[in-house]
Amino acid sequence: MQKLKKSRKLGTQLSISEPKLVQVVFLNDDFTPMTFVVDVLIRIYKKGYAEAVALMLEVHNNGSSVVGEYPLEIALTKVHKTLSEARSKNYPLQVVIKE
Amino acid sequence: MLKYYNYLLDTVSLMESLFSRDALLLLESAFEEARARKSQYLTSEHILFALTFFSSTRDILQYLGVDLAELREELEHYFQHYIEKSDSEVQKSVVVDDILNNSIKHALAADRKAVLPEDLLMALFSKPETYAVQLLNEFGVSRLALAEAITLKQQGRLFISNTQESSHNKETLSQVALNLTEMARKNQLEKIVGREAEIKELITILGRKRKSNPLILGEPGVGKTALVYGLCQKIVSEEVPENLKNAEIFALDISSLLSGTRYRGDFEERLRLVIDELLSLENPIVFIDEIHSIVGAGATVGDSVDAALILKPYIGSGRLKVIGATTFEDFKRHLERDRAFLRRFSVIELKEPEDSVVLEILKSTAKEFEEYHQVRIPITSVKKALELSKKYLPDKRLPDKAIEVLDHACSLTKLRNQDLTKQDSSKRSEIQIVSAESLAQAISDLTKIPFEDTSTSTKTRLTKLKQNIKNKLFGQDTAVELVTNSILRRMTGVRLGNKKPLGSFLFAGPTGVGKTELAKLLAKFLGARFIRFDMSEFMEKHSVSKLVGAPPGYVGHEEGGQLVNLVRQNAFNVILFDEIEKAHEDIYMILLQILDGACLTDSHGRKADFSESIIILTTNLGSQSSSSIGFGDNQEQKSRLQAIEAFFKPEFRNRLDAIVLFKPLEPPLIDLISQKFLSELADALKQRGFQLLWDDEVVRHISTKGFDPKMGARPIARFVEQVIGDKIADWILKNSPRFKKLRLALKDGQIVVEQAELCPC
Repeated sequence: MQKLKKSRKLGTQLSISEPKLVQVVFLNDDFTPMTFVVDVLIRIYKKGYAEAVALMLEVHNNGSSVVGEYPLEIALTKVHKTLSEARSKNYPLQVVIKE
Repeated sequence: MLKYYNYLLDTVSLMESLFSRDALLLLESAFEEARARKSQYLTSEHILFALTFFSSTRDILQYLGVDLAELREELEHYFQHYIEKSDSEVQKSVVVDDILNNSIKHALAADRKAVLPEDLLMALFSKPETYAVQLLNEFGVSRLALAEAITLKQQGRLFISNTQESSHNKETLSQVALNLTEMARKNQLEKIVGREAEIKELITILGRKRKSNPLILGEPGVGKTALVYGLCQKIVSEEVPENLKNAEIFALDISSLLSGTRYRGDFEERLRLVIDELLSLENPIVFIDEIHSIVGAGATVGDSVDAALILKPYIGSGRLKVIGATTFEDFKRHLERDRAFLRRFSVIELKEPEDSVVLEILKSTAKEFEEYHQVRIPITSVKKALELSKKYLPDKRLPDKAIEVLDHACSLTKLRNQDLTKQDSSKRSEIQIVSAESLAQAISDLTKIPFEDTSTSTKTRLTKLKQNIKNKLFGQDTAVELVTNSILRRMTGVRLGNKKPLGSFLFAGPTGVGKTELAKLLAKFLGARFIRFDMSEFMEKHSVSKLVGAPPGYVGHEEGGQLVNLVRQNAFNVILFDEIEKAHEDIYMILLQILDGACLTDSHGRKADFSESIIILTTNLGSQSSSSIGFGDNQEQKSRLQAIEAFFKPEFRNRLDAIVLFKPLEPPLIDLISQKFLSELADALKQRGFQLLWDDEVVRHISTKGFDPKMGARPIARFVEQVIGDKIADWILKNSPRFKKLRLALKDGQIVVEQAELCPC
């Protein structure tokens, strides 16, 4: 995805691309409680309650679900936060980044 | 201030000393930026954003050609669209942790105790997958280039050109233009008197729908710029129609627009920026003084894009109003060529104002001068300034010339006052009055013409003129009388009829009798400049061009004529045309013009005024035949006059003030002349510390040896300089520095040099 942007400097054209986005995917497991997943989706991924529940159910039913597209840095941070919270509570929640 | 300080230290678990104060402040401000935007995380982009503001890293980025404003805009875009908002505390992203760790590692590896902002910039590249690095790459910053720039910076060899930022910031307009209305509002413009009709015309043209661009044409000094100032003052005092009420007038300075533009396109870009900025204002009017300079401004060889071309569409469509001002000469030379540009203007011709108007202007200026110079200017002096400037500065324009004279006189008066107070401090408090004398002195300074009513020194100089010359020039008393009387008569203002030079004479006489000498002495004692043209250099037809300049298309056209240039620089001259009979006939034509109208125009059309110059022509026509000294006076004169009449046409002779006949030298005079040359030699020696004595015997010897009736006095000079001079030089080389007094004596028909003390006399 590239946008051509006319620079204020006349005559020169800068090609500025939008940031590359990656997908954050939640994977299903049988040990992590649903309430924890919903809570994480609301706090870290800034989802609304209804959307968070729907996403959680999708993970539960389909085995995995894309919960959002983010720039890599954001995605890495969110995944890191999610996993460290899960590990601190001894849940084996799996979250991966897909390009 | 450092709210996150502890937080930083805790999370990265660092020692305080690991980050320099600058780096800590930088991280702090990155945090603040994130917080202000309610960003959920502190990301590497926030750090980059902060880095674009810190002086050291800003310089590096600028050096690498990054358009900082552009970069910040892109980052802002990213913050808005890609980072989610959160009301909770900002958290560091995992990447930021790594970056901080890497910056520390880098600093430690480089043997530095603390992390600098540059290290943070470098550390951004340790995470190449971030958007910050992606952006930096797209702005042309690679890891290697950055490392190089940082190295240069540390070695103190990083130089960035200032224009890079300035050309992009919004202040371009204020850099290249003065807001005149703003200045008028602050009362910084000179007060304008008169010119009501022209200002009205200006307003009318500005009020048109199309072609609403006035072009003010006028000679230098008639007040073209002042007219625009007057308009500004009217706008400020709201004496203008509705359509001009909110107008802002900017004086655009083309030279500062041009300066610093180094590369192709820089100039166009700047001008565009200025125009954009102007168009964003409500009612902009651009005032371009010397508007001819924009034709061709910024154009390069083989490319006709100039400022005029860029402005044309804006001016034509009425989106931008332009007031131009230029002189007739520049209008003809530069503007008339560009008819397409000119078509968009309506010309206002600005003539010299009437005397009554000038007087009003002067009165108002005089008030300003009184305040500035701390003097008092009586109304009579104001009138006198006008009168004198009209009379003596014909090639300058009113009201400028009168103001210049007045200003100069004020300055002179103040200076005199200071000299006085230095001598006597009790006079300090007195306010000096600008008198007619100081005005005359000012004119004298400006024109280099000595004044009949100026200082006493010139007065005494004039009264002593005759005597001074007679002391130096022997045997030509009648000639001296004739010439000095005529000049003094003219200089005291007794002149008849039309304009003529101060004096014009034909000096006729044999060689070496003092013709050239008289001209030189005149110049010396009058304080005039002496200009000599040897007519043997003007024997060909084309040599006229040396005087008045080569015609267009010929080599040397640009230089103009020697004579015209010299007289234009300095009005008061003694101009000698030596041996006029050798000159080509065409030179006479030129001389006729000077003698009759006291005016000469060169090939550029510039006029030189000869009315304060003395023209002297010399000839030795009719003298060749005369041989002996003391030949029958009358008969000789007659034959010489006949020869002159036969050679010069009547219309030429008729225009001269007088034909002055020089007599051949007579023996008693020759002794005097020898004496004079010896005195000159003695004067020269005196400066080297030697004293020269001689007796009459020696003088007589020099006269008999040196004088040649055919050659006049010149051989005597030669004899004194060469024969006696050589002997003295010889003696000095042998005896110096023991004896400083020497004496000339005659021994066995030879002049010898002795030491003076040895002699009984």
